[in-house]
Amino acid sequence: MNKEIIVKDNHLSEKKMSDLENFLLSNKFPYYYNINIAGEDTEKTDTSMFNHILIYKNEEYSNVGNMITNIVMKNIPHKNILRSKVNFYLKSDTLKIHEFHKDDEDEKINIALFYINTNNGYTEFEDGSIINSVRNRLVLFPCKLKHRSTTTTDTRHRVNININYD
Amino acid sequence: MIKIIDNFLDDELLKYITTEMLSENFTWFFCDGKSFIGDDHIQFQHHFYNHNTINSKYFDSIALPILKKLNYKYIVKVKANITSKYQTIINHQLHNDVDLDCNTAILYLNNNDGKTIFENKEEVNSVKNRMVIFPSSLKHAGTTHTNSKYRMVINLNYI
Repeated sequence: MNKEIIVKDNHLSEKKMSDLENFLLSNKFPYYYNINIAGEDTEKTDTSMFNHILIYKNEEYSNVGNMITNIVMKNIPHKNILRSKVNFYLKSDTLKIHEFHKDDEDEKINIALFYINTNNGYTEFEDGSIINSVRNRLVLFPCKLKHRSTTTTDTRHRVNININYD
Repeated sequence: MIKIIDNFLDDELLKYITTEMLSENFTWFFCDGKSFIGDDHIQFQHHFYNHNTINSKYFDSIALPILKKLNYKYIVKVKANITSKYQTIINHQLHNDVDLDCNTAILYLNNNDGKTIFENKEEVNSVKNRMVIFPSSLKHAGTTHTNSKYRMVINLNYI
Protein backbone atom coordinates (compact mmCIF):
# COMPACT_ATOMS: atom_id res chain seq x y z
CA MET A 1 0.00 0.00 0.00
CA ASN A 2 1.12 3.56 -0.71
CA LYS A 3 3.15 4.79 2.30
CA GLU A 4 1.47 8.18 2.13
CA ILE A 5 -1.81 6.53 3.15
CA ILE A 6 -2.22 6.10 6.90
CA VAL A 7 -4.91 3.81 8.31
CA LYS A 8 -5.99 4.06 11.94
CA ASP A 9 -8.43 1.41 13.14
CA ASN A 10 -10.58 1.83 16.28
CA HIS A 11 -10.09 5.56 16.02
CA LEU A 12 -12.85 6.49 18.47
CA SER A 13 -13.89 4.86 21.72
CA GLU A 14 -16.80 2.46 21.21
CA LYS A 15 -19.11 4.82 23.12
CA LYS A 16 -18.24 7.79 20.95
CA MET A 17 -18.44 5.70 17.81
CA SER A 18 -21.89 4.34 18.70
CA ASP A 19 -23.18 7.78 19.62
CA LEU A 20 -21.92 9.24 16.34
CA GLU A 21 -23.26 6.34 14.26
CA ASN A 22 -26.68 6.51 15.90
CA PHE A 23 -26.87 10.27 15.45
CA LEU A 24 -25.97 10.16 11.76
CA LEU A 25 -28.68 7.55 11.14
CA SER A 26 -31.31 9.23 13.30
CA ASN A 27 -34.28 11.32 12.31
CA LYS A 28 -32.50 14.30 13.83
CA PHE A 29 -29.79 14.49 11.19
CA PRO A 30 -30.82 15.70 7.72
CA TYR A 31 -29.27 14.76 4.41
CA TYR A 32 -29.48 16.47 1.04
CA TYR A 33 -29.95 14.71 -2.28
CA ASN A 34 -26.93 14.82 -4.57
CA ILE A 35 -27.52 13.57 -8.10
CA ASN A 36 -23.86 13.94 -8.97
CA ILE A 37 -21.02 11.92 -7.41
CA ALA A 38 -17.42 13.12 -7.82
CA GLY A 39 -18.19 15.28 -10.82
CA GLU A 40 -19.64 12.45 -12.87
CA ASP A 41 -21.80 13.08 -15.89
CA THR A 42 -25.23 12.57 -14.41
CA GLU A 43 -26.69 11.51 -17.73
CA LYS A 44 -24.26 8.61 -18.09
CA THR A 45 -24.23 7.21 -14.58
CA ASP A 46 -27.04 5.75 -12.60
CA THR A 47 -25.90 6.39 -9.07
CA SER A 48 -26.73 9.20 -6.73
CA MET A 49 -26.09 9.84 -3.09
CA PHE A 50 -27.07 11.92 -0.11
CA ASN A 51 -24.73 14.15 1.81
CA HIS A 52 -24.60 16.72 4.57
CA ILE A 53 -22.01 19.48 4.44
CA LEU A 54 -20.63 20.16 7.92
CA ILE A 55 -17.95 22.76 7.17
CA TYR A 56 -17.39 24.62 3.90
CA LYS A 57 -14.56 27.04 3.15
CA ASN A 58 -13.43 27.04 6.78
CA GLU A 59 -16.87 27.97 8.09
CA GLU A 60 -19.44 25.90 9.89
CA TYR A 61 -22.17 25.11 7.36
CA SER A 62 -24.37 23.02 9.64
CA ASN A 63 -25.29 23.57 13.27
CA VAL A 64 -23.51 20.32 14.15
CA GLY A 65 -20.62 20.86 11.74
CA ASN A 66 -17.90 21.67 14.23
CA MET A 67 -19.18 19.19 16.80
CA ILE A 68 -19.05 16.20 14.45
CA THR A 69 -15.82 17.24 12.74
CA ASN A 70 -14.06 17.81 16.06
CA ILE A 71 -14.99 14.33 17.25
CA VAL A 72 -13.24 12.80 14.24
CA MET A 73 -10.28 15.21 14.17
CA LYS A 74 -9.46 15.04 17.87
CA ASN A 75 -5.81 13.98 18.19
CA ILE A 76 -5.21 14.52 14.46
CA PRO A 77 -2.80 17.49 14.12
CA HIS A 78 -4.30 20.19 11.90
CA LYS A 79 -4.55 23.96 11.54
CA ASN A 80 -7.72 24.48 9.55
CA ILE A 81 -10.69 22.44 8.46
CA LEU A 82 -11.38 23.51 4.91
CA ARG A 83 -14.32 21.25 4.22
CA SER A 84 -16.10 18.49 6.07
CA LYS A 85 -19.10 16.46 4.95
CA VAL A 86 -20.99 13.26 5.57
CA ASN A 87 -21.46 11.01 2.54
CA PHE A 88 -24.34 8.54 2.45
CA TYR A 89 -24.19 5.99 -0.40
CA LEU A 90 -27.09 3.66 -0.98
CA LYS A 91 -27.00 -0.06 -1.54
CA SER A 92 -26.84 -1.15 -5.16
CA ASP A 93 -27.32 -4.62 -6.65
CA THR A 94 -23.84 -4.55 -8.14
CA LEU A 95 -20.95 -2.50 -6.81
CA LYS A 96 -20.87 0.90 -8.52
CA ILE A 97 -17.36 2.35 -8.76
CA HIS A 98 -17.20 6.11 -9.09
CA GLU A 99 -14.66 8.27 -10.92
CA PHE A 100 -11.11 8.97 -9.73
CA HIS A 101 -10.81 12.53 -8.49
CA LYS A 102 -8.95 14.91 -6.21
CA ASP A 103 -11.05 16.67 -3.59
CA ASP A 104 -9.08 19.88 -4.16
CA GLU A 105 -6.29 21.03 -6.47
CA ASP A 106 -4.30 22.46 -3.52
CA GLU A 107 -1.75 19.75 -2.84
CA LYS A 108 -0.97 21.09 0.63
CA ILE A 109 -4.34 19.85 1.78
CA ASN A 110 -4.78 16.50 3.50
CA ILE A 111 -7.83 14.31 3.56
CA ALA A 112 -9.32 12.35 6.43
CA LEU A 113 -11.89 9.69 5.59
CA PHE A 114 -13.75 8.17 8.51
CA TYR A 115 -15.89 5.09 7.95
CA ILE A 116 -19.10 4.92 9.94
CA ASN A 117 -20.12 1.38 9.01
CA THR A 118 -18.52 -1.82 7.77
CA ASN A 119 -19.48 -2.88 4.25
CA ASN A 120 -17.97 -4.21 1.03
CA GLY A 121 -17.54 -0.72 -0.39
CA TYR A 122 -14.07 0.75 -0.43
CA THR A 123 -11.82 3.67 -1.29
CA GLU A 124 -9.45 2.99 -4.17
CA PHE A 125 -6.36 4.98 -5.12
CA GLU A 126 -4.82 5.34 -8.59
CA ASP A 127 -1.86 3.12 -7.66
CA GLY A 128 -4.28 0.30 -6.87
CA SER A 129 -4.25 0.67 -3.09
CA ILE A 130 -7.63 -0.24 -1.67
CA ILE A 131 -8.91 0.66 1.79
CA ASN A 132 -11.93 -1.34 2.86
CA SER A 133 -14.83 0.30 4.63
CA VAL A 134 -14.42 -0.77 8.22
CA ARG A 135 -16.44 0.84 10.99
CA ASN A 136 -14.38 3.24 13.11
CA ARG A 137 -11.49 3.27 10.62
CA LEU A 138 -9.79 6.58 9.83
CA VAL A 139 -7.75 6.98 6.64
CA LEU A 140 -5.41 9.93 6.18
CA PHE A 141 -3.80 10.83 2.85
CA PRO A 142 -2.57 13.86 0.90
CA CYS A 143 -5.00 15.50 -1.47
CA LYS A 144 -2.66 14.92 -4.41
CA LEU A 145 -3.61 11.23 -4.40
CA LYS A 146 -6.51 10.66 -6.74
CA HIS A 147 -9.08 8.34 -5.22
CA ARG A 148 -12.55 7.04 -5.84
CA SER A 149 -15.43 5.62 -3.85
CA THR A 150 -17.95 2.87 -4.38
CA THR A 151 -21.45 2.00 -3.32
CA THR A 152 -22.10 -1.09 -1.19
CA THR A 153 -23.91 -4.32 -1.98
CA ASP A 154 -23.92 -6.07 1.39
CA THR A 155 -25.39 -3.38 3.61
CA ARG A 156 -28.30 -1.02 3.12
CA HIS A 157 -26.01 1.98 3.17
CA ARG A 158 -22.39 3.12 3.23
CA VAL A 159 -21.69 6.17 5.35
CA ASN A 160 -18.44 8.03 5.81
CA ILE A 161 -17.16 11.45 6.80
CA ASN A 162 -14.80 13.24 4.44
CA ILE A 163 -12.64 16.02 5.88
CA ASN A 164 -10.22 18.28 3.98
CA TYR A 165 -7.70 19.96 6.29
CA ASP A 166 -4.28 21.50 6.44
CA MET B 1 -62.29 3.13 -5.11
CA ILE B 2 -58.95 4.19 -6.62
CA LYS B 3 -59.06 7.53 -8.39
CA ILE B 4 -56.32 8.64 -10.76
CA ILE B 5 -55.86 12.25 -11.86
CA ASP B 6 -53.15 12.92 -14.44
CA ASN B 7 -51.57 16.37 -14.89
CA PHE B 8 -52.63 17.17 -11.35
CA LEU B 9 -50.52 20.28 -10.78
CA ASP B 10 -49.82 23.09 -13.18
CA ASP B 11 -46.39 22.86 -14.77
CA GLU B 12 -44.93 25.84 -12.92
CA LEU B 13 -45.79 24.51 -9.48
CA LEU B 14 -44.62 21.01 -10.35
CA LYS B 15 -41.31 22.37 -11.59
CA TYR B 16 -40.88 24.43 -8.43
CA ILE B 17 -41.61 21.42 -6.22
CA THR B 18 -39.24 19.02 -7.96
CA THR B 19 -36.47 21.60 -8.23
CA GLU B 20 -36.67 22.47 -4.55
CA MET B 21 -36.91 18.88 -3.39
CA LEU B 22 -33.78 17.91 -5.30
CA SER B 23 -31.87 21.01 -4.23
CA GLU B 24 -29.21 21.37 -1.57
CA ASN B 25 -31.73 23.24 0.58
CA PHE B 26 -34.21 20.41 1.02
CA THR B 27 -33.68 18.11 3.99
CA TRP B 28 -34.13 14.35 3.77
CA PHE B 29 -34.05 12.04 6.77
CA PHE B 30 -32.89 8.44 6.67
CA CYS B 31 -35.60 5.87 7.35
CA ASP B 32 -34.55 2.29 8.02
CA GLY B 33 -37.57 0.73 6.33
CA LYS B 34 -39.91 1.27 3.40
CA SER B 35 -43.29 -0.06 4.49
CA PHE B 36 -42.23 -0.91 8.05
CA ILE B 37 -39.16 -0.10 10.12
CA GLY B 38 -36.58 -2.86 9.65
CA ASP B 39 -38.16 -4.39 6.52
CA ASP B 40 -34.70 -4.52 4.89
CA HIS B 41 -35.33 -1.59 2.57
CA ILE B 42 -34.48 2.03 3.13
CA GLN B 43 -35.73 5.37 1.96
CA PHE B 44 -35.28 9.01 2.76
CA GLN B 45 -38.26 10.98 4.00
CA HIS B 46 -39.23 14.58 4.51
CA HIS B 47 -42.14 15.22 6.85
CA PHE B 48 -44.18 18.28 5.92
CA TYR B 49 -46.84 17.63 8.57
CA ASN B 50 -47.09 14.99 11.27
CA HIS B 51 -48.59 14.69 14.76
CA ASN B 52 -50.66 17.85 14.26
CA THR B 53 -47.53 19.87 13.62
CA ILE B 54 -45.99 21.56 10.61
CA ASN B 55 -42.52 20.07 10.34
CA SER B 56 -41.13 21.77 7.28
CA LYS B 57 -40.41 25.26 6.06
CA TYR B 58 -41.75 23.98 2.73
CA PHE B 59 -45.22 23.22 4.12
CA ASP B 60 -46.76 26.44 2.77
CA SER B 61 -45.11 26.35 -0.64
CA ILE B 62 -45.26 22.62 -1.40
CA ALA B 63 -47.72 20.71 0.78
CA LEU B 64 -50.47 23.29 1.14
CA PRO B 65 -51.11 23.94 -2.57
CA ILE B 66 -51.48 20.20 -3.11
CA LEU B 67 -53.80 19.82 -0.12
CA LYS B 68 -55.93 22.72 -1.34
CA LYS B 69 -56.30 21.09 -4.71
CA LEU B 70 -57.44 17.93 -2.92
CA ASN B 71 -60.11 20.00 -1.08
CA TYR B 72 -58.82 18.88 2.28
CA LYS B 73 -60.67 19.63 5.53
CA TYR B 74 -58.19 18.13 7.98
CA ILE B 75 -54.56 17.11 7.58
CA VAL B 76 -53.40 13.84 9.09
CA LYS B 77 -49.91 13.39 7.66
CA VAL B 78 -47.96 14.67 4.66
CA LYS B 79 -44.51 13.48 3.73
CA ALA B 80 -42.24 12.97 0.75
CA ASN B 81 -40.30 9.79 -0.02
CA ILE B 82 -37.29 9.34 -2.23
CA THR B 83 -35.65 6.04 -3.14
CA SER B 84 -32.76 5.21 -5.41
CA LYS B 85 -32.52 2.95 -8.44
CA TYR B 86 -32.43 -0.81 -8.01
CA GLN B 87 -31.77 -3.50 -10.59
CA THR B 88 -34.96 -5.46 -10.10
CA ILE B 89 -38.53 -4.55 -9.26
CA ILE B 90 -39.37 -5.64 -5.74
CA ASN B 91 -42.79 -5.20 -4.17
CA HIS B 92 -42.65 -3.75 -0.69
CA GLN B 93 -45.02 -4.92 2.04
CA LEU B 94 -48.68 -3.92 1.91
CA HIS B 95 -49.62 -1.50 4.66
CA ASN B 96 -51.95 1.29 5.72
CA ASP B 97 -50.31 4.66 6.24
CA VAL B 98 -52.48 5.56 9.23
CA ASP B 99 -55.12 3.96 11.45
CA LEU B 100 -57.62 6.75 10.84
CA ASP B 101 -60.44 6.42 8.31
CA CYS B 102 -59.35 9.08 5.85
CA ASN B 103 -58.00 9.51 2.31
CA THR B 104 -54.54 8.59 1.17
CA ALA B 105 -53.11 10.35 -1.87
CA ILE B 106 -49.82 9.87 -3.68
CA LEU B 107 -48.40 12.41 -6.10
CA TYR B 108 -45.72 10.99 -8.40
CA LEU B 109 -42.99 13.53 -9.11
CA ASN B 110 -41.10 11.67 -11.82
CA ASN B 111 -41.60 8.95 -14.43
CA ASN B 112 -40.16 5.55 -13.59
CA ASP B 113 -41.06 1.87 -13.71
CA GLY B 114 -41.88 1.71 -10.02
CA LYS B 115 -45.54 1.58 -9.08
CA THR B 116 -48.05 1.48 -6.28
CA ILE B 117 -49.65 -1.91 -5.74
CA PHE B 118 -52.90 -2.53 -3.84
CA GLU B 119 -54.36 -5.43 -1.90
CA ASN B 120 -57.13 -5.69 -4.51
CA LYS B 121 -54.40 -6.42 -7.11
CA GLU B 122 -54.78 -3.08 -8.86
CA GLU B 123 -51.58 -1.26 -9.77
CA VAL B 124 -50.82 2.36 -10.56
CA ASN B 125 -47.72 3.30 -12.54
CA SER B 126 -45.40 6.12 -11.50
CA VAL B 127 -46.22 8.83 -14.00
CA LYS B 128 -44.93 12.35 -13.42
CA ASN B 129 -47.67 14.64 -12.09
CA ARG B 130 -50.12 11.79 -11.57
CA MET B 131 -52.20 11.86 -8.39
CA VAL B 132 -53.76 8.67 -7.06
CA ILE B 133 -56.36 8.88 -4.30
CA PHE B 134 -57.82 5.97 -2.33
CA PRO B 135 -59.34 5.17 1.06
CA SER B 136 -56.69 4.86 3.76
CA SER B 137 -58.21 1.50 4.72
CA LEU B 138 -57.02 0.03 1.41
CA LYS B 139 -53.65 -1.62 1.93
CA HIS B 140 -51.01 -0.56 -0.56
CA ALA B 141 -47.25 -0.62 -1.10
CA GLY B 142 -44.63 0.89 -3.31
CA THR B 143 -42.09 -1.00 -5.37
CA THR B 144 -38.47 -0.45 -6.26
CA HIS B 145 -37.69 0.99 -9.68
CA THR B 146 -34.98 0.24 -12.24
CA ASN B 147 -34.97 2.95 -14.90
CA SER B 148 -34.40 6.29 -13.21
CA LYS B 149 -31.91 7.59 -10.67
CA TYR B 150 -34.60 8.23 -8.11
CA ARG B 151 -38.27 7.72 -7.43
CA MET B 152 -39.82 10.63 -5.61
CA VAL B 153 -43.41 10.97 -4.37
CA ILE B 154 -45.44 13.06 -1.99
CA ASN B 155 -47.74 11.06 0.23
CA LEU B 156 -50.74 12.75 1.82
CA ASN B 157 -53.24 11.49 4.38
CA TYR B 158 -56.17 13.83 4.89
CA ILE B 159 -59.90 14.20 5.39
